[in-house]
Amino acid sequence: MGGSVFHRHGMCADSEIGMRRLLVIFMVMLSCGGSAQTGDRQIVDKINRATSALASMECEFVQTKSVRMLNEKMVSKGKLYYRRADKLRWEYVSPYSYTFIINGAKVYLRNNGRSDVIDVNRNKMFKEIAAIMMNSIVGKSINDVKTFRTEIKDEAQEWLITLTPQTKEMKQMFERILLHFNKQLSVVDKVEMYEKKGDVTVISLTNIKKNQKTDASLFTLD
Amino acid sequence: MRVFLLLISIVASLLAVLPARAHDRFFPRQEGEKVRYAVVIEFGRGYISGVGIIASQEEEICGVVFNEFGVSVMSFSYDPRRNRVKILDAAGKLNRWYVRRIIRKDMVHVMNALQMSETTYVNEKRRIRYTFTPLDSQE
Repeated sequence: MGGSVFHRHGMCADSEIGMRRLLVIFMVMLSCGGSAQTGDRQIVDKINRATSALASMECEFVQTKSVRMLNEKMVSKGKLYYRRADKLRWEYVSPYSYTFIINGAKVYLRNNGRSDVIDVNRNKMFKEIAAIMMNSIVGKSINDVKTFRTEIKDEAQEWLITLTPQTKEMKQMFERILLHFNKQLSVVDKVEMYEKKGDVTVISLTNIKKNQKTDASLFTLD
Repeated sequence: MRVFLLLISIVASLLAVLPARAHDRFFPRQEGEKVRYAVVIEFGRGYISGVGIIASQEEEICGVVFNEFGVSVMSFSYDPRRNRVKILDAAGKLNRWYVRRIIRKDMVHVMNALQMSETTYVNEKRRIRYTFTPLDSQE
């Protein structure tokens, strides 16, 4: 493939959907998407100001997937690193090893020893992902009324944001998404994703550290 | 004849007190059992990876596959008596009728392989490779 860095094992469309889902998760963690009522608008502005001030973040996460059909829960654990303006590392450590890294124009994937490198300039979907990331990172509010309808509930310790998909693609993935924005920490510390068939995925962030120095090597595959 | 019947009775009694079949880490054989897998489905230049859970429920086996981020890929049921798989749900391009048909037939082979404690099945004609590795073997 000449000078292309596109690995011969490209990502299939279904894994791309998974990537989109991850980006949706991260996008809404950093900002607040969708339309909002006037009162909600002020909250959204507060959230966007807080996230715009975020230079870096690292935390641990616990992901719980509830499979309704089998009455089963699958718990995964991992770590997340973010650095402004275009670097993200999402790494699962248990019970499987899987790493997803965005670093500028490159997306790196590692799955139990198998590695893939994707040049976003040669892959439209990943270019879109990178653009979303960039807009999120520079603090631009994701006011995409076409993608989500937003409702915000002001709780004591948090703002509870309900995102209802409006597009066909998002509707296929989610019935609704709940974001828990921690007022004290000024970050989303919990995301709940509800699928139409009843499955639920909950991601809880813990041990959140903001604006600390992060090693550049975290955003490449060694 | 009486001795023969007596021997049969003794053998039957012995079989009745044998311990229950040991847990099979590759395949859920007893009702209520569940097995988790690291799943990789390779085809052409692409692949799907994630987690699979297969459970024994009443008289059939049910399974789901979802990727690392929790996005559902497919769900299916397997009837061991008829050795048939039914694809209950499939995401994206897997949901096309000709793809479902291929996967449905391939998953029968996957179920058979797991029952033989084998983790891999390859559809040579379509060049699709299915790998279901019990997760406890990776932890």
